[in-house]
Amino acid sequence: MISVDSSFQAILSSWSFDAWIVAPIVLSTLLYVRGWYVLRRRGSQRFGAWQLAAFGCGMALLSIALLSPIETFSALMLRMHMVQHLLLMFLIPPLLWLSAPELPLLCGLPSGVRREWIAPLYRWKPIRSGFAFLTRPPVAWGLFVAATWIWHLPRFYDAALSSGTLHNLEHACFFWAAMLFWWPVVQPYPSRLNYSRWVLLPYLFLAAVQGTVLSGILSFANDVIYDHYELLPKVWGITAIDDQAIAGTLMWLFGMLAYVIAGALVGYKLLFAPRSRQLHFAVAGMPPVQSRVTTYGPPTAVRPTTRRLNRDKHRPPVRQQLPILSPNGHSSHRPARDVLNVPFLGRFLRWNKSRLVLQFVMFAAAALVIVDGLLGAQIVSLNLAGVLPWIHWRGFLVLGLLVSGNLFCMACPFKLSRTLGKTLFGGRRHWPRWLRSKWLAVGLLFVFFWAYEVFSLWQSPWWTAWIAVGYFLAAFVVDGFFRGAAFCKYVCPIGQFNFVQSLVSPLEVRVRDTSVCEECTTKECIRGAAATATAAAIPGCELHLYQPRKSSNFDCTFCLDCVHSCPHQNVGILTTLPGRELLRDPRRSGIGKLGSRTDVAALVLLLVFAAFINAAGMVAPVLDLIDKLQAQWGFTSRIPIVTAGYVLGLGGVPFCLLAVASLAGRRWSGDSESALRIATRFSYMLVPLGFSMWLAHYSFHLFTSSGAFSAALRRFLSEFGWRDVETAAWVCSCGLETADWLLKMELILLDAGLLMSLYVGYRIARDRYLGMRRAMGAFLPWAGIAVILFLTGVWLVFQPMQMRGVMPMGM
Amino acid sequence: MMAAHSSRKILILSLCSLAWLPALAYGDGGTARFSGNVGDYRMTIFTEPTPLRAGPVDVSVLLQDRQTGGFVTDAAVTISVSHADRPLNVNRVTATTASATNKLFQAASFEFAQPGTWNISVEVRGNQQTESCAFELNVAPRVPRWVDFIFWIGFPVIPIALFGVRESVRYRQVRAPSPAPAG
Repeated sequence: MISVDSSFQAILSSWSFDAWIVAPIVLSTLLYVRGWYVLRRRGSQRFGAWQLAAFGCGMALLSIALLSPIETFSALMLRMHMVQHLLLMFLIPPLLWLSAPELPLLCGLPSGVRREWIAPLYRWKPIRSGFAFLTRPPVAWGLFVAATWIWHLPRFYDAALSSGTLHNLEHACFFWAAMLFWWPVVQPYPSRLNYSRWVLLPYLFLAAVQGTVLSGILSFANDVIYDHYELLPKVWGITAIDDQAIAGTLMWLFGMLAYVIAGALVGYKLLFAPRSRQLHFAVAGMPPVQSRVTTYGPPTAVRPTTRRLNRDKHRPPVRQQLPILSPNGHSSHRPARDVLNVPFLGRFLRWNKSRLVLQFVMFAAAALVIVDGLLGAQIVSLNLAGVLPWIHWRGFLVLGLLVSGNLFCMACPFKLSRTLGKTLFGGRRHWPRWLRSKWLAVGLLFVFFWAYEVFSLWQSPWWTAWIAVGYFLAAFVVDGFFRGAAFCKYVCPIGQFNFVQSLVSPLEVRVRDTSVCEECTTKECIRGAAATATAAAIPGCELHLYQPRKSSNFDCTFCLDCVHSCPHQNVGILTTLPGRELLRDPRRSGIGKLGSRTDVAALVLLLVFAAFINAAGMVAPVLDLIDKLQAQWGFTSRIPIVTAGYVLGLGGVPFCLLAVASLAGRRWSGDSESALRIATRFSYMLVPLGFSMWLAHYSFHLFTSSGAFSAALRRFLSEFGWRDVETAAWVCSCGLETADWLLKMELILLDAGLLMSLYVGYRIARDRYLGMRRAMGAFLPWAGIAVILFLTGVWLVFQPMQMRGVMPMGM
Repeated sequence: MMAAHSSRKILILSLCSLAWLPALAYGDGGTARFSGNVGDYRMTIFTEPTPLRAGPVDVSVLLQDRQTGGFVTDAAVTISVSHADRPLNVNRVTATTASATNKLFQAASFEFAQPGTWNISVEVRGNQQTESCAFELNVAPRVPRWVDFIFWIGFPVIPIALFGVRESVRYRQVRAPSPAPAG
């Protein structure tokens, strides 16, 4: 048995947590505080400590109402539930309005969001007139009373108590109806009224009357009105009927107190407060002293009087924007951040041996993969060649592209064999002109994806090791014979993958100040810097990207030769808006216009569709289908089925979709350009969606099987006798259901990919075609493809998936 | 300017971190399934979610002293569940206050693998004796998993709709004649 004290302790510790409630509260508070601070710094006297305290108290009470034991016990005791509703309806809304939240919340928003997103909606007439309508006293009163009475009907009240969703809806109705109700009473700055504030006295009085009636019904009912509470046990010896009477009394007391205080304050202001300009205007129905009607967005209930209308006929009202919403307000343009200025990291990257260090680390990892793959036990989930490349490397590769940029190419271990080849053979030949495109890479990537699935490369450490060896040899041979970075630019499938995905990365190697480049005559970034007494020669860009005209990460290996060679230190690793380079199509150094590069578009489309085909190859329904078709058609091997699937998935289906989209878009937009040209330009919009699928797929493997590295390393060390390693018991992690958080993460990635793709497509269409109708005609078919791919991705992530690697037994 | 940038960072980081916070699925009462006197106790048993479906289910027990009505949280509560078709396949879990949001409750989580009738048995071991009660629950079929994630699947609709409104408003504002200058 526990004492009353420990019961109270248990009650006080019964806080709930709901991210959907915490997030808006924290976010609004941060926005308000930021905006309040900005306004104070600009010298506004209207926002003092009182407003800040009112908002803080409002948010604190909101947290208490929705997260504290009040919420937890509301299902057990009607009186507790009543306290919660009273807080939501009588205390929190007036406090929030007293804080005059409109301007601080607007100021707290990032300026770009404010100007680009909020300002147009803020100026939108339906929103302005809608809000003005809802805050008219009769409407606000009616909504408040309706919300109160409807939700207190037994049918709805009991329904809300048995369903979390309905309970939240009930709270939302109470809260927002009360916000509207208290708005005319508090009249928060900068809004103005044009009706007499005397209206507010009957407004509050009538609200008090209906509240008294409802609380009387609850207090004096002979039976328990709400079945839910009748079923529950007595708490502290209070029966359900007494609980109901207490709740009714609380409602009456609390409500009356609120109405009386509000009525007294309104009456006091009307009778005794100095006649402000606004009051004079309101009471007399005359325009304010400053006669021009200045409206500041939605929270205005200004309904022009006939007299003012007549006068203003000759002087149109100035529909002035809030200054903070003005397009000419504070500029949101901020200089890009430079990673080279980050302490330690920047210094490391500026060091001309930094790349070599990273390459040796990756070379060591590649060596482990090759040794273990060729000589170690051929147990895929316990072999470094089965684990490191297919789980960890791919996962970190895409995460690196997401959060920074093309880091793998910077640390590419194959650069060492390229350098060796150049040293031994000179590398003086020109790459054949007929191969100077991405078509070879497209072919190689197709073969790789096909081979990956047909031969289950990830299941064979031996084959994995030979792929790594082949990579080193290819880099050695190609760059041993040919000039520049021919291997990277035209051959390397990993490089092409990185080039395409890094189009949505947030970092880019580019010049800091273009005016410096205009005056530069030596052009070391492309020609290279000659050796000096203190420094060795630095080559110029091997991929022929001339920095002043370089745009985007495409074909950039992040080698940083341009950074090291620039005598003006004018090249940096700068932040950029992810996907920005997909919106425009300038002539880019080393690439030309992406919109006219069919080979690059083909590469993009291959990687986009391969993201989905590659993921489909690991889900149960697709594997079952392959087995079924194999049995049905009598094949002894799955190779023909998979080959047909790849030809269809990476060739036939994309071709048909693109043909339909470009022909439909061409027709609907009235474009006279060829369908191929249209398809080439619009295909880049799918890059974000494809990348999001790669991210979802590879991060799934990384997060579900990252522990496999430890197991594989222990086995490796143990097998090669380097030391006596304790070996744990491991089990295959196959067949586990995807954790909720991981599934949520995959969906968020796909959501982000779809949204970015749609935005890019829309911008491409708007830039290309005059008029909204033509632009939408061209855009919608491509949006359809994006939606189809998105839904395919969603379907894939919900399927049972093959997992890689192992995990400790017992997890 | 630095302060503004810092607060923006805090804002973005807070938003990002909050997006990943899961709503903790503690037993929190739900629908009362049983309420009655069992030995020296008044026992009330709740299940969640409502309506009850196959999948994860919380069972919460509120114990009170039969005589005084005071809350009892120090008794050991064990909940056993089994499907009516497989009565020998019993899943027994000790209920704890840690698993409940309401710390007067003792809760345990179960996976009701299939729909149909489930037998619930609650055993309470107090200082002197052991009491138990049993009842049946009808469990509806499980909803597909994607239904639980419908918000995240349909989320793009919200920004797309907002963007559509914004573009439409901007388009009209650009086309509309600008107001006459003041004065």
